[in-house]
Amino acid sequence: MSDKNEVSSLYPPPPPFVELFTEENLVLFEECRADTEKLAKLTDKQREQLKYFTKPELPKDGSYRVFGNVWNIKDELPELSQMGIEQLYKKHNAASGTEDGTTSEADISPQDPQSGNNYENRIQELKKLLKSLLLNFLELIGILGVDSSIYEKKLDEIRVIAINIHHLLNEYRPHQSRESLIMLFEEQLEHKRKETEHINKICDEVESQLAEL
Amino acid sequence: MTDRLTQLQICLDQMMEQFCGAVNYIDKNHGFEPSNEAEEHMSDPQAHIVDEKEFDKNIDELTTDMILKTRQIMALIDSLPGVDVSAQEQLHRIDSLQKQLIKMEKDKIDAIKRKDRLLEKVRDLTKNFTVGINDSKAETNSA
Repeated sequence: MSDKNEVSSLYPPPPPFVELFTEENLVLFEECRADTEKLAKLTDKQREQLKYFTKPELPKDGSYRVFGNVWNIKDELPELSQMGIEQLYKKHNAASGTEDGTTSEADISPQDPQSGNNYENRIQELKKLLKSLLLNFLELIGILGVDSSIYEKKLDEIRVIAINIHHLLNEYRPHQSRESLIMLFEEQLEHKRKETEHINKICDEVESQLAEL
Repeated sequence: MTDRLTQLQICLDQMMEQFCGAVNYIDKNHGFEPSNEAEEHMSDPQAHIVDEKEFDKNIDELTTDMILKTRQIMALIDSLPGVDVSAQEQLHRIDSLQKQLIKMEKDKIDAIKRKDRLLEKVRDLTKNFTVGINDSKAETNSA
């Protein structure tokens, strides 16, 4: 703190108004919200301070800037087409509505109508894309060997494939998060079960010892 | 350790780097071949041309690396968690686990209460016991 040149922390310090959030002010704010007369009696300084207690409105254009990037308020994975990239894999109806609200036509083949097979399909698509990636690289090398002036098109194709793979993987993320959550729950459950078991075992022992007295 | 998806994405990036490395290597070290019979064999004293055997060996190594990386990626794809369950099944599972957790927490609290009661009981017992000893000591002393 004393040395200004020293980097004190990686993240910027909290905004100065955090100090206004005292118990006292919180109570005052609640009171003023219920009672406008009380608000009128406050000093200008108090009123100025209480302004920070009302949540600011969400930005109107649906996005905000932080750490030098623009972010959407609604946190979602943009479609490839929105980013101007051709989608190479088949679009399946997402297994859950929360994950993907768009209604692209169902490409699920008739023999596996269950939504559970979506991820199975994605795995297949991933493998296909990976193989095309290798093939395209081989083609690129071939092109470079014969006529390097047309390499750019091939390079772009490789780029599109790579972006597609990344996008497909990112689409998979909500699924993985749920899976991780399940694992965490199971661990916790097991831990708690063991604890309870242990306590009960000791209790049983003590009780039987007492009974012998 | 990072999660599987991140591992996969890292592997993919590594593969891209391998691609770059291979193109770079070929670019820097390749020899000259005529593209058809009519063309004469070109040469350039300025170019750094690696001995053919050496070149083939290195290309072999580069491709082997790529194939290994591909296998690694394939294995990672196959080991992605929960491929065979749908999101609904997952949510159901989370729901039921949550209920189980709440119940388990209750059981635990019950067990702790039981332990506390028992502790109190034992404390009383020891207290009575020491008081009893003291009493009997006092009796024998007065006798």
